[in-house]
Amino acid sequence: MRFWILGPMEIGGDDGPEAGPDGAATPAVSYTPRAAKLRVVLAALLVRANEVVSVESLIDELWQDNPPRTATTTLQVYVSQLRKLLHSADPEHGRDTLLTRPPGYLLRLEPDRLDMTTFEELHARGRKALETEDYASAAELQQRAIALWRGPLLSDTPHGPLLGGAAVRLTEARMTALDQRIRADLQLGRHRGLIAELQSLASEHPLREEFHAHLMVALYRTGRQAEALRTFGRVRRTLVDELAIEPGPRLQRLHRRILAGDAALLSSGSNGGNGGAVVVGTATGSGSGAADGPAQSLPERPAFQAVTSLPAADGAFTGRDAVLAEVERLLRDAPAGTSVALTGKPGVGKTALAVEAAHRSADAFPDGRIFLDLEPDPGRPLGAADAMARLLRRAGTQVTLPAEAQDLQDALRHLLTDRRILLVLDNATSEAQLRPLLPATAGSTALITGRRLPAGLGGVRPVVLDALGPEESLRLFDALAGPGPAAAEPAAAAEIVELCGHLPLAVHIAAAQLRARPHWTAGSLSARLRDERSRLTELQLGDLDVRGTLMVAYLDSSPAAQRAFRLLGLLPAGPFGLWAAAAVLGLEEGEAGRIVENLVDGRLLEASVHDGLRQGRYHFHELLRILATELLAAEETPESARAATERMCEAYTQAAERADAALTPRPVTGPVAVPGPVTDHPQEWFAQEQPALVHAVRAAHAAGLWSAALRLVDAMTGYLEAHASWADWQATHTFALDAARQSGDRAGEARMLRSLGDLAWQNRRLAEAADLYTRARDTAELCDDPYEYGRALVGLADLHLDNGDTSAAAALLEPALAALAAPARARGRYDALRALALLALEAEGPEAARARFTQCLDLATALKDRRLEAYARRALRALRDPAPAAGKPTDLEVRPGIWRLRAPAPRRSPLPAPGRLSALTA
Amino acid sequence: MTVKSAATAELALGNGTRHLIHCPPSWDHYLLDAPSVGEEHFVLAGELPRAHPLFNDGPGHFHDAQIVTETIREIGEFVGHRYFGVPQDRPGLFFGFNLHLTELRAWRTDWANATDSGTARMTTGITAKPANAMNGVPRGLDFQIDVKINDMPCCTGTAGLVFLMPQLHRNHLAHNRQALRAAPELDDAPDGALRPVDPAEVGRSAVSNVVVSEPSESSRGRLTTWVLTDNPNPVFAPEGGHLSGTHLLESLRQTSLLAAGRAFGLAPARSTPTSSEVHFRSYAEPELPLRCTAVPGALGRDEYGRPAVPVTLTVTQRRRAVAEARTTVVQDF
Repeated sequence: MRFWILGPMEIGGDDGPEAGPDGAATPAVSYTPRAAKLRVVLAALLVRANEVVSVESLIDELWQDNPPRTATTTLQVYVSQLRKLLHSADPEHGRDTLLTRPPGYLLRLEPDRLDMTTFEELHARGRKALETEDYASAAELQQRAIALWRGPLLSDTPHGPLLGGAAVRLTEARMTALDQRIRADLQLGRHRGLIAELQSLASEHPLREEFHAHLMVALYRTGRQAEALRTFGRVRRTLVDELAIEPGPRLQRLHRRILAGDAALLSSGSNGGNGGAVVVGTATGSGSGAADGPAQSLPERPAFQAVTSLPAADGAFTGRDAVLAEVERLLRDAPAGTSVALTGKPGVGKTALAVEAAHRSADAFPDGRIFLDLEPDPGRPLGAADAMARLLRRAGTQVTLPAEAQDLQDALRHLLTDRRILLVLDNATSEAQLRPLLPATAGSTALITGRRLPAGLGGVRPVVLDALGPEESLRLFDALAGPGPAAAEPAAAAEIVELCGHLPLAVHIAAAQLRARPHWTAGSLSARLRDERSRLTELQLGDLDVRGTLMVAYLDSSPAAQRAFRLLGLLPAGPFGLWAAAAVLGLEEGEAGRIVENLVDGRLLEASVHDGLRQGRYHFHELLRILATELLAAEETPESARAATERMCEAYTQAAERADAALTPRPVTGPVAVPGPVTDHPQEWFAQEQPALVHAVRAAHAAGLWSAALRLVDAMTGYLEAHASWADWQATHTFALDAARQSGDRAGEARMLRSLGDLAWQNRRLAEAADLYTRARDTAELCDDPYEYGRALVGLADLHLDNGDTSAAAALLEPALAALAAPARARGRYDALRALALLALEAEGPEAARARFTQCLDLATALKDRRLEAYARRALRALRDPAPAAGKPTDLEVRPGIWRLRAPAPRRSPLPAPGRLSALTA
Repeated sequence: MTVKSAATAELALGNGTRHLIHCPPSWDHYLLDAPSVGEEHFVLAGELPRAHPLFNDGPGHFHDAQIVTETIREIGEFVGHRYFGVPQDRPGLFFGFNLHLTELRAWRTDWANATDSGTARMTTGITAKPANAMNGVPRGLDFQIDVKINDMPCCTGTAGLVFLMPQLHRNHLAHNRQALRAAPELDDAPDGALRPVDPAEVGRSAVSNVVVSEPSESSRGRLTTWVLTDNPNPVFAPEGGHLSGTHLLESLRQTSLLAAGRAFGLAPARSTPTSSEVHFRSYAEPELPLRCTAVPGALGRDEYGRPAVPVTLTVTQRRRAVAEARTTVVQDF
C-alpha cells in the first residue's frame, strides 16, 4: 500500500504497478476516499505519519472553529471507514496500519510508502551531497526529489491548520530543492541549459531573489551580460513596486560584478585570469553563490557541460567487428596516461572506425567526446598549440589567443582532470604534435588515428587496421550501393571489391559511382576497373579520390623513400624478398632494408609475416602498386627505370640459376648474392617465386632486355617442365622465343622452340609438337648447334614412338646420337639414349632396352643428375617385370615423371582382368 | 565398396593415349624412389574419347562426364601402388565419388570440339593424399580432381579409394556373397520379364548400352527400375564375379535422366547430371536382381536459369544397399 500526497491524494494497493524508484508512479487502481472529510483525516495522519495525531487536532483540522456536537463520534466513524478502506487496499496489513493511540490515532507507515518521506530523504541526501561538493549527485538527487511533486501538496484536500502548516513547510522545501539543484547544475557548468528554466522560475516567483541571481549568472556566463543586467533591473523594479525595497545586498553585489565584467564570475575561480592570456571558465563555483549563498562556502572548481563534437555516426558503417570490439575494449579499460592509436594505410577507414568506436563507447565518456582533425588541410598539420586551442574551444572553453603553449596545456589538463572525456585525434602526424594533447589523468583518454604509429610516445596502444576481408568489403559495397547491383550481378560485385583491393575508400567510391550513375551496372563498372592503367582514375568521384588519398602518404615521405616506392613498382604484384628490393633499388641489403622499412612505417608498403622459407618479405597493396607504377612512368627517367629492370632481372636470373643448379647439378657462374632458400630449398623457392619469375620475364621482354629474358627462361625450364606448369611455361618461353629472334640468337631460338615442343608433347598437342620440333631442328641446323639439333631429333623420335612407328624413330635417333656425341652434350645424349631404350623396348624387347637404360644410368651418374639417375634405375627395374600379356595396356614412364598410358583395344572377353598399369612398377 | 578400380578402365578410353605427369612436391622422395607420405600431384593429359562404345553413344550434345570417374578409377590404383608404396596384391576399391560440373559449356561437344584438330583436350589435375597409414603404407587415398577441357576449368570432384589386403578382400567378397544368398526371405525380384527402357530416354542410342528396365512409377515422380545385368556388351563385363563400377555408375546416370524426364519432362538428349555424389555400400552380384529407386526433388533452376532436378537414388539387392547417390540433372539448350 502506497500513499501520494505531493499533489492530489492517491492511495494504491500493492497489487498495482510497481512504483518507480522514488515511488513517483501513481496507482493503477486508486483507493482514495471520495469524501473530503475522510481525505482530511487521512491527510492529517499522513503528513504526521508515524506520529500520534491527537483527536483534538483532527477535529480542528476537520471543522476548525465549528465542530459538531458529535465530532468525536463522527471522527470515530471516519476512522472506522478509513480502516475499511485501508483493508480493501491491503487486506493483509491494512487494518493494522491505522492504530488507536491515546490521545489520538497513529498511521504506521514505512518511509518508502509515502512520497513525502521519499522527497524529504532525497532532498536531505542532495543537500548533503552539495555540502560535500558532489555536484553531480546533488543535482541528480534534488532533481529526483522535485520530480515527485505532481502539484501543490494535497491539492484536492481542504487544508486546516495542520495541513496548511505542512503545505507551507513542504512547498518551501520544494523551492529549496529546486534552488540547490540549480546551484549544483551551475557548478557543473550547465548554465546554458538552465536559462529557460530560470526565466520561467523568475517569472513565477518574481520576489525570490535567488532565482534572479541564478539567471543573471547563467546569462552572464553564456555571454548575455546585457540580459543579465536587464534581469537585475526587472527584479529591482518589481521589488520597488511591490514592496518599496531595493534588492538585497547579494543581488546588488552580483550586479556590480557583472557591470565590472568580473572574469572570476565566469570561472570557478581556480584559474581565472592568469595574466589575461587564457580565460577559462566553463562555469563558476555556484550560481548566485558567485556572490554568496550556501554554496559560497564551497571551493570553486571546474565544471563542465558534457560536450559531443563528433561527426555523426555513419549508418552504412559495416564490418570490422573484431577490431571495433578491440578498440572499444582498449578505450574502456585505458589506464591513466594511455591512448589508443589506430594506424593503417591511407583509405583503409581509420577515421570512420575511430568515429564509430567513439560513438559506441559514449557511455564510458559521459563528460564528452571531442573530435579534432590534426591535419585539416593536406600537408599542413596543426601545430600543438593550435590543436590545443581548438580542443579547448570545442570543449566550450573560451580561449584568448595568442596564448602560451604551456598555458594552453595547463588549461587542457585542467579541462580533463577528474573527467571522463574521449579525445579523437584524427590524422596525427608526429609525436611532437600529439604529446601535449594526450590526457594524463584517469578517466580520459585519446583515440589517435594516423598512418604512422606514434611509437615515440609512451602509453600508446597500437591497433593496425588492414584492408577489409572479401566478405566484409562485399557487405560494405552492398550497404553503400544498395542491394540492386550486387544482387543482380554477384560475381561482378565481388570482382569490383577485389579490384578495389578491399580498401574501404575505394569500395566507397565504387559504390558511389553506381549510385550516382544508375545507368551503370556492376558489370560495366568492373569492366572499367579491370584495366590497371585507368583504375585509379576510375576510382574518383567528386572530392572522393583514391589516388589523391594515396598520394598524401607518398608526398609525406622523404625523397629517397619516394624514389624507392616508385622503383619497387617494377616488382611483381605478389610478395617479394628484400634481396629483390635491394636489386631493384641498386643498394646493399642493409641500406635497402632501412628504406623499405621506412616505406612500411609510412604505410606505403606492407611487411608479410615471415614465410615458410624464413624470409622477410614485403608486398604492395594492389592500389598502391598501381600508383607506384604510375609514378614510375611519370617521374622516373626511362634510363633509370630500364636500369632498375635490368638489375631486377639479373637478380631473379642469378637466383633462378642457383635454384636450377641445386635441382640439376651443373656449374653456375656469377656472384653468389642470392638468398639461402634458393639453394637450401630450391623447389620450394621456385614454387614461391614462380609468379615473380614470370613477371620478371615479361618485364625483361617489355624493356627489350633480350639476353636477360632468355637467361632467366633457361633457368626456369627445368622446374616448369617437371611441374607441368603449362601456362607459365608457354608464356615465358614465347616471350623468350621472341627475345631470341629480336636479338638474332638463333641457338636461343632453337632452344625455345624445342622446349615449346616438349611442352606441346607433354600436353599431347602432338601436331603442334611436331611442328615446333621440326622448326627447332631446322633452326639449330642453320646456326650449327648440334646440341639442339640432336635434341629436336629426339623430340621428333618420341612422337614417332608415341605412334608406334619405330622405324621412323630409329631413323631420327641415330643422327641424334651422333650429334650429341661430344662430352659437353651429355645431357642431350642421355635423352637420345632414353629414346633409343624405349625404341628397343618396343622393337626388340626388354633385353635390348636394358643396355640403353644402363648407358643412361652411367651417364646420369656422371652428370650427377639424381632425377635422371632415378629414372634410369626405375626403368631398369621395370624391365625385370613380366611383359604385359596380349591385350594388356602398356603403361610406360617415357620421360622422367611422365607416364604414357595407352589402353588396349576393347576386349571381347567378359573375363575379369587383373590389375593393370603395372608394367614398370617395382 | 564394390568398385574394382582398374578393371573396366582398360576399356574406358578406347585406344587414346594419355600422359600422366607426376609433379613432385619435394625432390627428395622422388630422387630416392621412396614412397610418398604426403600429398602428390599429377596431371593427366589427353583427348576426350571420340569413339568409346559407351561414352560416345547417344545424341552427342555433351561429352560424357563419366570419363572423369573412369579416369580416376584408372589412375587411382596405379598411383597407390607406384607412388605410395601400396603392395601390388592389394586391390584398390573406390567407395565414393563427388563430381560437380562447374562449366557446362565446356562439356558441350560443339564447343569442346571446335578446335583446329576437331578434338577436345582434357586435362585432369589430380591431388592424392594418403589416408590411415599403417607402417608407412596408406590404407586408402583421397583424391581431389580439377578438370579442364581445352584449358577451361569445367569440373571439380573428390574420390575415395581404399586398398584391401588380399585375404581381407577375399573374405569381404565371400561374406557379401553369402549374406546375399543366405537370406531368401529378403528376396526382391521383378514381377515379370524386364524390358529395357527406350535408349533415347536415358541419353543413349544403342539398346545394348541401356542398363535399366522400363520403370514402374508411383506417386510424386518416384520410380523404380531394375538394373539389367545380363547385358552382353563387353563394356559392362563383370569384374571379379561382381557387377562392374561402370555398370553401376551408368545405371545411376540412366535412372537420373529417366526420373528427371518422366517427372518434369527434361529432354534426355539435352540433359546431363551436373553433380553426382555416389557412395558404394557393397558388391552387387550379377546373377541377382538389382533394384534402383529414384526420387526426384522439386524442379528448380541452376545459377544460369536452366531447369534442374535433384534426384536421390538407391540401388539395392535383396533389400541390401549397394549404392546411394544424389544427382542433379540439368537441361541445357
